[in-house]
Amino acid sequence: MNRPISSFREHFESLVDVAFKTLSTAEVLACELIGEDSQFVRLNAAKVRQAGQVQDASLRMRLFLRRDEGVRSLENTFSLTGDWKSDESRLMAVISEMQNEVQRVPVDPYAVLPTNRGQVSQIEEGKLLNSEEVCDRLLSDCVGLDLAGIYAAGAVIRGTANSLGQRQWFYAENFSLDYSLYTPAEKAVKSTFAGSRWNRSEYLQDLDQSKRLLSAMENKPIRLNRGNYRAYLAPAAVADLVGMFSWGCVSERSIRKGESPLRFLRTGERRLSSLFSLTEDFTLGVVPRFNGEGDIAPERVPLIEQGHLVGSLVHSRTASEYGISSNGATAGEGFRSPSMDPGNLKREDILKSLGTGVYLSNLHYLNWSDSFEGRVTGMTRYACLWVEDGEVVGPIETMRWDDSLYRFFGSELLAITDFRSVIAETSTYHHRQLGGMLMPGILLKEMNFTL
Amino acid sequence: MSAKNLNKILNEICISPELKKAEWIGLREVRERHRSFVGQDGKIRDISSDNTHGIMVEVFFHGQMGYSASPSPHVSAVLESAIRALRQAQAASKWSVAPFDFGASSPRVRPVAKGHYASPKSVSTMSPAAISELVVMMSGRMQKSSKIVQTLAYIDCLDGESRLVSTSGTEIEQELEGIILHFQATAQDGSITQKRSDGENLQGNQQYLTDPSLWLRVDRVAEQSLELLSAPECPNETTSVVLMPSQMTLQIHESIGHPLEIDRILGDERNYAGWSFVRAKDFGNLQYGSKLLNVTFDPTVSGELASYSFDDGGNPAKREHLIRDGLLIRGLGGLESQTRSKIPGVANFRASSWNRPPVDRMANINLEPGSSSFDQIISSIESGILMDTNRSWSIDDYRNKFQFGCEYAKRIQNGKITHTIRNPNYRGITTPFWNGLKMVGEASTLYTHGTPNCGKAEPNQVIRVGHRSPVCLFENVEVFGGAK
Ligand SMILES: [Zn+2]
Repeated sequence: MNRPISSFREHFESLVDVAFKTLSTAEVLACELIGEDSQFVRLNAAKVRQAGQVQDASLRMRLFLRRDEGVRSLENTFSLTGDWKSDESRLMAVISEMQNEVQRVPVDPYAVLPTNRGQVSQIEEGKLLNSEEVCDRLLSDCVGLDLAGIYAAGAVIRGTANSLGQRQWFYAENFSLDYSLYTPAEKAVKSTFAGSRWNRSEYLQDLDQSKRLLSAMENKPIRLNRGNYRAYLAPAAVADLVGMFSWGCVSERSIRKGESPLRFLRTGERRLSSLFSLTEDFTLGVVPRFNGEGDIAPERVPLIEQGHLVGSLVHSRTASEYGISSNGATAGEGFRSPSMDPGNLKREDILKSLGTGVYLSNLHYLNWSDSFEGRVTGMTRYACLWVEDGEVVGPIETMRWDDSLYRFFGSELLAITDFRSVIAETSTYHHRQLGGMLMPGILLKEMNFTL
Repeated sequence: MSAKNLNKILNEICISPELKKAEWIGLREVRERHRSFVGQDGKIRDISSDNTHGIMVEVFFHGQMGYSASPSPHVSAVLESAIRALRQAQAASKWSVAPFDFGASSPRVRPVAKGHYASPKSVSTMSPAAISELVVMMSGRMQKSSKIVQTLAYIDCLDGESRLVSTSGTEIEQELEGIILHFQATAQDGSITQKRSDGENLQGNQQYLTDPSLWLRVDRVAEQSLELLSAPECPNETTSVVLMPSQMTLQIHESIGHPLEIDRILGDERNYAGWSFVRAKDFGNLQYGSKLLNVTFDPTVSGELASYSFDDGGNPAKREHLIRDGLLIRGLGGLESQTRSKIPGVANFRASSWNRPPVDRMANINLEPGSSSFDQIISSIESGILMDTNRSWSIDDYRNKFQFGCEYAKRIQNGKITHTIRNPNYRGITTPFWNGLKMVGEASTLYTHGTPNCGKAEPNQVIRVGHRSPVCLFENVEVFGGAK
C-alpha cells in the first residue's frame, strides 16, 4: 500500500471532505472505512504451510437523495490504494456515478437518513511480534507436537464519517493463534491464544494446558449409542450454541416477521430457564460500539433476563419500518460481543456434578433442524470425553446431536459455571473480524444424540 | 491493466537487488465488481456496488512460498509488497512443512502457462434502475396473501477479471461475468412459519431474468410457501428418498466435494473445516458409491458458476473423473497437493480474491446423468419421499455423519406423487448413503446449480462452485420432521 495503515485516519478524513464538497443540499453522504494490516501464518504438523501479509482498505459510501416524494439511496464500496491522487480521482468518479444513478432508482420508504452521532475515537495499541520472527517464536516451543492452526495478527481499523459532521475512529492491534493439537490416533484438542500483547510465558501456559488435556485423549475412544445423556458443555461449546441466537433469533426484524424461535418468548407462550441471562455487552471492549452507519449502541443491551425476553437487537432500518427505536445494532441484527451471566457451579465441582455423562469442550458445524422452532443440530469435536461417576474414562467417538435451544437454555439447564472464558472471534472471511464472547460452561440434565 | 502491463511491473520490480534471492515471483491481479439489488415486500431494500481490486505477490525461497497482498497497483508499492513476501518466505523456510523444488526453469508446482478465458457474457441490456424495478416487482408479486409475511428478491451481477504473470513466463488472463438470483417467501399461520425459495447461480446468461417463465417460478414459490403451512410433518422412518438437483447440489458438495480435497487429507484444514475420512490409499480402491455413481471435476462447462481455463497456480484446467462406476479414482488437489501426497489431482488451486493465497477448492463438481426418466424413478417407488431445495446442512469434521434439511417435500405412494410434506430432514453416513444410490436420472432431469458461498481455509476464504446433477433415488434413508 502507498501509506502505512496507521496513517489512514487522515487519508480517510481528507477523502471524505472532498466527497462532502460535491454534495447538493438534497444529498447526504455516509462513509465507512474498513482496513487492516495483517500477518497470517498457516501451520500444519507444527510447521509452516503458507505465510504472508495482507494490507487492505476499502471505502464504503452511501448516498441519500431527498425529494418530496421520498428518499432514494445507493451504496458503493471500493478498494483504497493509499495514494492520494489515485484514491481522490476514483472517489470523484464514484460519487458522480452515484449522483447520476440515484435519481433513477425506486424510492426507499424505510431509508434512514444519517444523523450526526458525534466524534468517537478508540485506539487500542498492542505489542505484537515482529512479522519476521513470528515463525520462530511460535514454533520453537512446539517441537514434538502435532499442531495445526492459524496465527493472525496486526492492526485493524474502522472509521465512519458523514456529511452532517460525524467522525468516528477505531484502531486496534491484536493477535490470535487459533490452534489444535493431535494424538497419533487423531484425537484432538483446541485452543485459541489471543490478545493484544504477546507474552511468551502466557503462550507456554496455554500450550501446557492443551497438552494436559491432550493426554486425556490418549485412552481408547468410546462409542456411544444414540440417545439422551447428561452433559457438560464448556464455554467454547456454549459460545457455539449462543452463536445460533445471531441467526435470526435476537433480531427484532426476525421476531416481528415470525421467523425467530424466540417469538414464543415474546408472546409469553414459552420461557427459558430462570438461570439464563444474555446481554449484548460492549464492556468487553473488543469491538467498536458504533456500527457501519455510526449508530452507537448502549454499553449493555440486556436481551434475556432470567429466561424472559427483555430486549432484541434493533437496526435503524427495522426501527424505521416499525416505528420503534433502534439500539445501534448492525444491519444483520446479530451479536458483536455477547456475554452470558455466570452461575454458581465451581470448576472443581464440574465432573462430580456431571456424574455419568459427556463432557463437551467444543461443538462443530451447527445448523437448524427447524429454525422456526429453535431446534439445532451439530457435531461433537475435539476434546469430548465420557465421564463415569465423576471420573474421565476417555474420549468419545464423534457424535451428532439434535436438540432445542428451549431445552439447552430451558428445561434441561441444571447449572452454570461461576467462571467465564473470553472466546475470541477468529473469523477472517474477507477481512479479520472483530468481536468476542464472554461465556460460562453449562450443565444439562439431558442432551439428545442422534447418530 | 492487461497481462502485458502486469508483466511490465513484474520486470521492473525484478531488477531490484533486494529480490535477488527469490527463486520465483508471481503476480496475481484481481478486479471484481458485484452490483447487488434487493427487493423486500414489494419495496426496494438495498442497491449496492462492491468493487475490489488488488495484487497478490507470491515469492518462493528455498521452495517455501511467502505472500504479500495490497490494493495498490503502483510499481513502488508492488516492489515493497514483493520484498515483504520474500521476507515472509525466508522466515518460514526454516519451518517449511513441504518445500517444493524450484531448481528447474519451469517448476512443477507453478507451470509455465499462457492463455485466456472468457465466460459467456451477461446480456447487459438491463440498467441498474431496471434491475431495481425487477426485484421490487418480484418481491411484490409474491405477496399473494396476508399469510405471506415477508418476501425477498435478490440479484447480484458480478463481473471480474484476474491476471497471473510469473518470472517463469506465465501470462494468463481470465474474465468472468455472472448472475446470482435468489427469491423467497415466508408464510405464517398462527405458530407455524414456513419458507420457500428458488434461484440461479450461473456464469453469463441472464436471459432467464427477462423470460416469462421467471414469473411462473415466482408464483410457485409464493404458492408453495402457503401450501407448506397446512402440510403434514415429515414422518420419522427409514425409506426411499428422491433428491431433486437443488438438494443433490448440497449432497454432492458436502459429502463428495469436501472429503476429496487433498489438502484436507494432508491435514492442512484440520484446525478449521476438518480433515477427511478418505485416505491416500483409498484412491483406486474405495467403492465410494453404487455402480451408478459417476462424478466429474469439470471446469469446462459453459455457463456453470466455477468454469475457468487455469487455476491460480497456472495449471490448465480440464475435465476429470473423480469417481467412476462408484470407484474413487482421483482427488481434488492442485499441483502442490499432488506433489506432497502423490495422489492424482486436478487444476483446483484457487484463491477467493487478490488478498488470499490459493488452496485446494472445488470448482464444478458434477454428477453425471444416468438412464432413468423422472417418471421411471417415481413409478419404481412403493413408499418414499421426494425432497427439494436445501435449507440446512451439517456434517462432521471427517465428512461422515451428515444431516440435511429441505424446504419442500412430496410423499410418494405406490409409484405416484401424492401430497406435500413440511420440514423434511434426513441423516446418514457418507459412503453407505452413496452406496444406496439406486437410480440416476437421465439428462432431461439435469439442472445446474452452484453457490457463491463455499467457505474454507485459514485465513478464511469464500469461493464460487458449481454443481450439475440429475434427479437421484436413494434407498434406506432415515428421514424425520421438525420440532416437537
Ligand atoms: Zn463448501
